[in-house]
Amino acid sequence: MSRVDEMDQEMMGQRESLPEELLPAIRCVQCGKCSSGCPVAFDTAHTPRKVIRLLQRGWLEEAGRSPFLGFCAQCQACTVRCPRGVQVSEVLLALLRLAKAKGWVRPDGFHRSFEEMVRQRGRINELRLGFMAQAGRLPSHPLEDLLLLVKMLLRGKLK
Amino acid sequence: METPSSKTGLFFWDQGGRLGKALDLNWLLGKLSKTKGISCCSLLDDPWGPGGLSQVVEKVQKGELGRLLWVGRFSREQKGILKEKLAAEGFNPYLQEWCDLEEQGVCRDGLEQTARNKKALLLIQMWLARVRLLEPLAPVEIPASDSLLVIGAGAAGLHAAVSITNLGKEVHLVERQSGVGGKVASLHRFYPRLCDPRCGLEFSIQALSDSGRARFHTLSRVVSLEGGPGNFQVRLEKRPRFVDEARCNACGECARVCPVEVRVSAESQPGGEPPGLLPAATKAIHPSLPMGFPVAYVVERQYCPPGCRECERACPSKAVDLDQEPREEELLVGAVLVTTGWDPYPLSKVEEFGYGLYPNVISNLQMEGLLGSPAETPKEVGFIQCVGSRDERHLPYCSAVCCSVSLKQALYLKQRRPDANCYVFYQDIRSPGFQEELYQKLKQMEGVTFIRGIPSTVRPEAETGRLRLRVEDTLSGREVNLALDLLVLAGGMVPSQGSEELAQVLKLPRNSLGFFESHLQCHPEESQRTGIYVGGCSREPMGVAASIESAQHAALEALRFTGGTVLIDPKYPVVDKTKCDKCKRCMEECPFGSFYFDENGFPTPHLGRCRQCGNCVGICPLAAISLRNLTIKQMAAQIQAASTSFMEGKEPTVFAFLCQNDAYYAARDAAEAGLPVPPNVVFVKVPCAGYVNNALIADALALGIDGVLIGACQDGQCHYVKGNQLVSKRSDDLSDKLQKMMMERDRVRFVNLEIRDSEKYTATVEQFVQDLRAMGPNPFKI
Repeated sequence: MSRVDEMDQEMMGQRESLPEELLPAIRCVQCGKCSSGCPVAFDTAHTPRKVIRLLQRGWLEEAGRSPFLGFCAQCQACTVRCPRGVQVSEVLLALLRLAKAKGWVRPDGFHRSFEEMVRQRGRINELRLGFMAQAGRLPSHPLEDLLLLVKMLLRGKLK
Repeated sequence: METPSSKTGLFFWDQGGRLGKALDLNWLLGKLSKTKGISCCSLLDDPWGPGGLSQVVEKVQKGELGRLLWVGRFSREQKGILKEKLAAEGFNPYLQEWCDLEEQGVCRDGLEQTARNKKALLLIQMWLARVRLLEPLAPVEIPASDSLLVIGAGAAGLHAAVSITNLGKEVHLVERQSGVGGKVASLHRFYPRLCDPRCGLEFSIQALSDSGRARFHTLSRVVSLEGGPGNFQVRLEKRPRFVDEARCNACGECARVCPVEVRVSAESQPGGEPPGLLPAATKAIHPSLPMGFPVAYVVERQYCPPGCRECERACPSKAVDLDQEPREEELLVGAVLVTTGWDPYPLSKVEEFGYGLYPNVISNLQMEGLLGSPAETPKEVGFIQCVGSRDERHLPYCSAVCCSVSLKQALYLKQRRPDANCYVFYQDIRSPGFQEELYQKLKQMEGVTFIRGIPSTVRPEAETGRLRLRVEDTLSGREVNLALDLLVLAGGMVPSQGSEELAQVLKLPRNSLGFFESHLQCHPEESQRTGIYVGGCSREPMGVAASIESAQHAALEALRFTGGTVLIDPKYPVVDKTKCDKCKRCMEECPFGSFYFDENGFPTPHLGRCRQCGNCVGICPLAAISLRNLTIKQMAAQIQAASTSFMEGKEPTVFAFLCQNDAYYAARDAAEAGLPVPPNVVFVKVPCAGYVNNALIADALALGIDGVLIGACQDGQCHYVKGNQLVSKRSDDLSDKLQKMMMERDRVRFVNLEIRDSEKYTATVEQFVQDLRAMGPNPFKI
């Protein structure tokens, strides 16, 4: 048996190991309607259909590391259009959670600060969040950002 | 028929000496000849050789034998020979039985010879008990009309009607619309030959007209159906045509003066769906639609302006009669064919493609019209497959034809406009059989692109009106952006609109999808009402060729209920009116709706409708129903005879009821293959596991039999719809009762067996016997 065959069988066997919330993926017939209607599908190397396909084959980690997960806007267009009733955006969200738990995806500075602030105070101070998210790295557009800050303060958009 | 004498002849035939090897035949013969009622008991030497049956024939001729029991292995053919030979001597074939000791495993059991002899004796006594109660029976003749009713005069109905008239029978065609032809008449071309479908339709209309044996009832519907196969009384309601069919010769003068324009879709397609290749609009008086047959025109009276009688005045042959009333007509037919066909799935329900919103998004049926019209052929055309079909939100099934339809349309489009570009958006191309050729042809054609991916939305460009479409080519994972002039949606098929009403009138079960139910594999055209057959798309989505084939098959099946008389096997149920309390359970549970009330209000089976499965026998709470050749009394007598323990000591005994379609064969083959079936079991076969009445099970247990086994088909495989489920449910109920009686509920066991499940049968019996050993003997055991 060739190496490829061995891998295939191993992968086939992994279908059972999908966690329950990802199981709807096996109902997919790969018609591509989810990607066709997705506003961000072609902004990354993967489309929602492909992520579902990776799950079907049992390539959980590859699916979890898919760049698409970060782009999904949870607009539900895929879920609404799916002819097989796969709750695509729910599956993707569950996959994202799993990926974070497994450490395949690391939350960036913004997300970390946001979470921390909610934990500490129960609400968000936008100005502080902005600084915290930017802390530790140089602002990419310092001048524009400063102008924007002044503008927003003047209009009362930041408190 | 008078009761025949109770003198019984018992004849052994030991093929290949197998019985003699396993049993002490002399001991058995000696024992049995002393049994009461046995007037003759002997071992046949060679029943198939010359004179081999002479002693039996002689005795029958002298009237010394009233009934017969044959012991040994007799094949079906051999049984037939015996029946025929003795019937020639005036011996009723229903007064004999066959007891096969080998299939009961007597020859191979792991028993001592004495125990074997004991079991063989018991089996013969069981069958003797049955033979004593046999009654002489004869087939029942019921009269059968010589005509058939075909409901729906589309392609399937017309072709079936031609086959019927070719065989010399009469046919009544009932059609809801003003003309025949159905959906196929509105198609432009049909595959595989890409010819005009009207050609075949005209051909069959011609054949029917020439035969003189076909009557067309257009603008009609069936409002009631009484009686049964052989003589259904059908009542039709006929809408007025307002034109005399005998006088009108379709000169068209009337239409010229008619002041009203009517949209065709309203008349021809009640769902408001587009009419395919039919004219978009006509006058209120117009030729029959979809095809101009019957030749007479028809008036859409609801559109006539008040007081207008222009057409009446214009008609040169005085054919128009605007005061016609609806009328009813009664028909007597032997059988009914339902070929009511399909309707397109309403595509406006599939919102994402903007059907009904954008004028250049059309259905495939509309595309037929476009291809047949002289209109300019668009250049950039997209075909979206599986619109509505194979979609949980719409139709969960494949509509079977849409792939080939789109292929055909793309091909024809390219023929009309070679520089056209076609894009077929699909998830799977299903082109079974020879239709693959069409697919391969198109795949190689320049300007035809197959994109595996279904678009999700369609947006029109404001300035050009073209349709913008974005789709993932799932095979490459790339985005495809297109601007199209026309988008064709391959919509699905649903059962035609009238089928729900028709189902109520004919009491015809439909499946959850609205198609008429049938036993899809073995008897695809046989509905669950005997004498009513379903063909074409009213049963399952299929193409024109398959529809015609299926309708003709249905016609072939239906013909057995025509031709003067129908013979009914005397195995039908009879209701004991002294016991029946009119609870109507039999009426409810009969899978074929064969019961009706007689003049005294007793449920009575209609002999023609009944399929003799015996589910009514099983369901009757008072055990008041019997099959004529397998009465409750005969069965009870067999059970009683089996209750004398044939096993040594405390070994449990099992009585098994096996369905004769599946489970029986599993048991027989287990014995034949020498599988280690425990000797503790004896079985009888029943027409369907649903035959087993709880009273029989209770009888067996009360008489001291340790366990009762019921062998039924797998779920969903019962030939009688759900006899297996019914008996399983009932035996569950019974086991609850047993528990209340302080009897182990496990003493009644239910098992699903397929025809080749010999191993499973063996294992089940083995397990059952073990469990019974653990339970200990039946407390009722003497």
